[in-house]
Amino acid sequence: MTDPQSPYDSGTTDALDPANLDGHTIEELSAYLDAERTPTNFSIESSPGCQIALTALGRLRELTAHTLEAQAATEPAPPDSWVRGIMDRIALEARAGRDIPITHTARTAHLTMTEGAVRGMIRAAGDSISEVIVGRCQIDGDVTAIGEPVTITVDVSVAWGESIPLAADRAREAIHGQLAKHTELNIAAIHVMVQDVRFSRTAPGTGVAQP
Amino acid sequence: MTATATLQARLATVILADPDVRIIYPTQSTLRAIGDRIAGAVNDREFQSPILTIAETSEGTTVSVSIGVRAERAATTVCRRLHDRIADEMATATVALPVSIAVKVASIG
Repeated sequence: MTDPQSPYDSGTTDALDPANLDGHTIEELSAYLDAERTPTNFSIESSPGCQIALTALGRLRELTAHTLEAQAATEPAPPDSWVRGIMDRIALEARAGRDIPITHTARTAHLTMTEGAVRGMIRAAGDSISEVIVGRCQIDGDVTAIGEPVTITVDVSVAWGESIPLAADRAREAIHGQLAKHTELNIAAIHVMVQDVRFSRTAPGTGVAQP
Repeated sequence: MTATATLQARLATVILADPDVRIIYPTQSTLRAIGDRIAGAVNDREFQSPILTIAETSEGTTVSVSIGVRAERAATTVCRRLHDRIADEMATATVALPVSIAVKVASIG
């Protein structure tokens, strides 16, 4: 086990800045999720940043629910600071960021994808691996220039009892698959940094999510 | 309904008819969004920005739209296809062909 805060430190940027989420805070989104998204909040539902953050928060919530269930099996629940750190990262990474170009032969075409959309996709791909939870996702390099090499760095937490190298490989493959499918980025490298080992949401060794 | 509003609605219908498009996001800046939220709170009602922008510039007509797409199909493919459908729709609408069609993928999945 490592320091629960360090890999998910929100860094120097203000993760609570409402400008990151089209005027909303991560607390508002969490409360909105608590209320099962009712009554419908048009401002939240029409914000891409909020949508990306809500999706990631939903996955995080599912994970922590599994953790509480597993508590009886002697594993400690993750500290609030750990969950809080990931929530702050989600808020930061959901913002639109840079525009990533998409090629088209037509002269009229100005096609782009936001960096926030790509970060959200990377986080979802990593989280899809049952023994992995993504803490932080970073895209380095000039994504605004077609063909420029970019590097992806993802900090993850791996479930106790699982093979760390195998988990990292599976996360890397899932992320690479989604990037190759949805973007034209020239991926020079995908670094998966295992920052800590935590609770399981799978039966150890099976890679299968527990009910 | 103005000609521009009619065209906006027509293009929105075309875009939302694509099975890989989940949502069209309103075209507005973050500052505008915050301003709208404040105004909405004061007036106790929601403000809704146009879902896509059609602008007349000195160089011609420009169309801008921001979308969320499903993850099943490549976002790049969906984006290109929407550009082509918007261009086709504007051609059949017998309006001046746009000099720029900007399609932005703002969320995937």
